Amino acid sequence: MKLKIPINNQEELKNLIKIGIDEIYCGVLTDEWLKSYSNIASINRVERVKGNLRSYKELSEVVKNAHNFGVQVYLTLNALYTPSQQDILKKEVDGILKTDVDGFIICDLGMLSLLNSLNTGKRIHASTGLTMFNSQTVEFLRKRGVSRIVFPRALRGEEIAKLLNDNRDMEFEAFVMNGRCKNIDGFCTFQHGISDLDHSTLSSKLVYSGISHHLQEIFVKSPSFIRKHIMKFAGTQLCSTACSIDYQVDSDNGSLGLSSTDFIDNIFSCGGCYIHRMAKWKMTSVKIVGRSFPIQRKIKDALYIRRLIDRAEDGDLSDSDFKDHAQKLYKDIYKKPCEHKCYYYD
Amino acid sequence: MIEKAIFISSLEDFRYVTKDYTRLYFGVEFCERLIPSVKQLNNALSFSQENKLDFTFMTPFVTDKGIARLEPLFDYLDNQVVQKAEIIINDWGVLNLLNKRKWNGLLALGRLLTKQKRGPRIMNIRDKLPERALEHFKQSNIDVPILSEFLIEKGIQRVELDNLLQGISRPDAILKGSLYFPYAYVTVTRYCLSSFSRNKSVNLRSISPCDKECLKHNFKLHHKSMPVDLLLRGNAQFFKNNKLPEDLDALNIDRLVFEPKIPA
Repeated sequence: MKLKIPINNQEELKNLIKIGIDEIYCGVLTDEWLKSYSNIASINRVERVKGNLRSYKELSEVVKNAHNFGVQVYLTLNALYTPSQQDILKKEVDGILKTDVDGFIICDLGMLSLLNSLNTGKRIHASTGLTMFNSQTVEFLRKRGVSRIVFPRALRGEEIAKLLNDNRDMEFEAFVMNGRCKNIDGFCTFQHGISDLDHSTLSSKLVYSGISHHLQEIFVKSPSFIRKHIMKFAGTQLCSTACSIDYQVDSDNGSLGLSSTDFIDNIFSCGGCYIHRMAKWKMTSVKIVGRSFPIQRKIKDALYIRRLIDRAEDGDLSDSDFKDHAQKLYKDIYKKPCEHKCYYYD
Repeated sequence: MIEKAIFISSLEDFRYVTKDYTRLYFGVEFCERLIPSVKQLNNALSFSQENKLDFTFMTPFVTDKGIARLEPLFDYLDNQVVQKAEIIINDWGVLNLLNKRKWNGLLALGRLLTKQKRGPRIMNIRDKLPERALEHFKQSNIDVPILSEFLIEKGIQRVELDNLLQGISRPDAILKGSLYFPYAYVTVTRYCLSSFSRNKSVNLRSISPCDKECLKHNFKLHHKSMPVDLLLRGNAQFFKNNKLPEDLDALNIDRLVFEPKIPA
């Protein structure tokens, strides 16, 4: 089972390659795209400029270095592209095709048709944004030249196992760390990155100082009343994503209780305990989310999942023993006990 | 001439159907647990025939279990000779299935697949966006010619659209559009918050047992950063927008779909 991790600059690659990664993924946000569409309409759905490479020259260098270590590079072209973007998009694709990337991660059937029409010879991975929930969709995508599909986050373990078993001629990938939103990625139409649009805002300053990641970790773990105070102070500035908003919830039936807390996602979820099953089910690849995350976090995540894959592939532990092992390893690497914010449930 | 349709998800809602409408939408978009039975579909189709309404069957995104529930409904619709239904698909797998079954009725691409950016907070930043970015947020990928042509090749004849707060732009759109009002969907989950509201012991982050709370209760979500309140029904969130675009013809929209209730 392969490990795919995110990077946003050359230095990160150097740090992460030592851990034993098989594939990397990254996006490029050029000045021309940024000027025309802003970060909010990013070409690859990472709205934080810092989460992206900044040119195709930089991408070429990353690819060259990665290939020297036998690591494949996948470029994210996983936004939805509208008619107003087509002229610049074609220029971007021209730039991309001058690099030696191994493949693309896409979620727009228009982009898929464009890449197919160009006969790029590159591999095409269907992002979770393509919302594959059944074997018919697997067939639909296979017929269009997709070689790997990333599972939606909102599948039960048994559903993942069945789709893997029923479609052995397709490669599959599953998220195992970070970025677990309760909403279905490919069907969610909220804008992200709104607070990062204006670089003069408090949150943008924090983003670009690298502090925001740690604040976000504290924020999502805080009790509701603390979050409310933070929200009062920061207003819209901290709410880069609509899933982090502390709503006032009114029900048309007082006996039904939904509180604002129920709407907050913990994006720092972990699927460590599930690695064992994914290996048994012959998952092609597992993926860590977090292109914008600090390198220290990426190193810990990659190290944790790498060690779990290696242990799972030994194949000598039961499910419960593997879970114990995963939780002990979590404590060793993250210096805190497992928080039981699980990526997958049965 | 604008066609007027009404969208209902349960037979109890026939009461909303008046002589103003010439087409009935029946079915669900967001949850396979609510897919109607063959009997319910038969009742809805009979109602539409009795009232001389054209008929559209709405399908949701589905797992393999949902596909299995849809197949007998497609068998039923295949066998209708008096009235050929239109089917709306919200799942690429359902399109694949219907193409394999050589469905020869009308096909439309549902709101889950027409990929408009519906998040209301765009209204807070529209003055800060470059002009091209704002135009982008009014558009959909389905109007890119290479995708429109692919959809037509697969039998799609129209696209289902929401009434965006920031406005809609469809320059040179090839596919005819239907516009839903007053409720625009924003997001959907399988971790159903309505279900969780009753089953507090069940972990929010797992797919809960279902008592169909969505059929009885709605929630309103308010926050000062959200320009309009969000409305939660079942596993999906919506906003309300009563103000229709002035020139529907220029948007290649020739059908209005009225939702008397927040859709399921």
